Amino acid sequence: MHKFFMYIFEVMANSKLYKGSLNTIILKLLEEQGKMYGYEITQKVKALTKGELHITEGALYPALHKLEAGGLLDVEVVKVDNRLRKYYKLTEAGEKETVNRLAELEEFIRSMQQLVNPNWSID
Amino acid sequence: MAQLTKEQIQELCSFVRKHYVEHYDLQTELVDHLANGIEEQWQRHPERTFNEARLTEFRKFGVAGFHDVIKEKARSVQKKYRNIVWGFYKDFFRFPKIVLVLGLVLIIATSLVFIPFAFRYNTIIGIFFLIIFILFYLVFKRRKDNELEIVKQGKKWMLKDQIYAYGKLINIINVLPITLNIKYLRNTIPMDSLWVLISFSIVITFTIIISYVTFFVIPSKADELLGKTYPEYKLL
Repeated sequence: MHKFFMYIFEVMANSKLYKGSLNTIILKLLEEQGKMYGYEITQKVKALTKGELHITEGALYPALHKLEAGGLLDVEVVKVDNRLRKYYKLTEAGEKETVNRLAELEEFIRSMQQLVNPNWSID
Repeated sequence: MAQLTKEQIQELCSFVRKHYVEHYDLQTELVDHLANGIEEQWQRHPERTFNEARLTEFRKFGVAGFHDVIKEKARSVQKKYRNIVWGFYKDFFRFPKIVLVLGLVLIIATSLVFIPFAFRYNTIIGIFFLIIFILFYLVFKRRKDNELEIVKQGKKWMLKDQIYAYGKLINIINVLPITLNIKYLRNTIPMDSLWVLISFSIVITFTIIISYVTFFVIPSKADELLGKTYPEYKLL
């Protein structure tokens, strides 16, 4: 799991490219962790990438809300130390979509590697 | 670990409100986010004051503050609303309601046939204007109730705003008669063709159904829909 993320982030860290993959990252994390809240997601990504990648708050919440509106995520609200906390988890459709998007992303990484580091030998 | 007091949470609530987050659904989430961030900062820098920590956390949202989050959230909620409308709309195309729909198409088409040829086009425009007039009347009549409903419990919810603004449906329907009024269309659409009349009947029927869904069905199920969208709606 860790290696998977490191790999993605090596390719995409601090570039515009990762923006398009933010949704996939969120879906993958939720698939692993079950349910998470917004702050937890930012911290988890930071920890997994040893601070290499920082998901900005201004990008995370819009992504979460969009996924929720698209029916991929479900919400759950729990009262935690005198405040309400909103947890996100995958819906059934979300689980299916996660598999598709991960496959797509891996395919993308493979093609990028081919482009960046082509194999010129004839055999 | 240092935890925020109830008063500090309250202060965060007014802080996000002051930064133009009007809706409770977004307020709770942002308050929790800021609170987590502040508590985390205190672990590493216990000397920081509440205000300092809050400012640091807020700055992470960038120069636009919560603006982007609000904008995108509104967009997502609109999408969600459209999905809800579509869900109820689809229902009309299944048995038994589809019989009613087909009946309505038939009645409108037959009535159009009986109208003298020269008046047909204007009649259709008139029907659209009549629908719009009725919808405007409903908006006006229910305005006070809806305004009260929206701020009930002292809290605003984005989806509720959409439900009681009827998804701005009037603006969309308004386009129909205005488009039909274009001279080119008026001169080219053959009003003696049965297929044209049937097509118009279908468009009119669809308009009636969508108006019915947004103005009657969805508001009547508002509490149920809001409860499903916002688990915290029932906690209050």
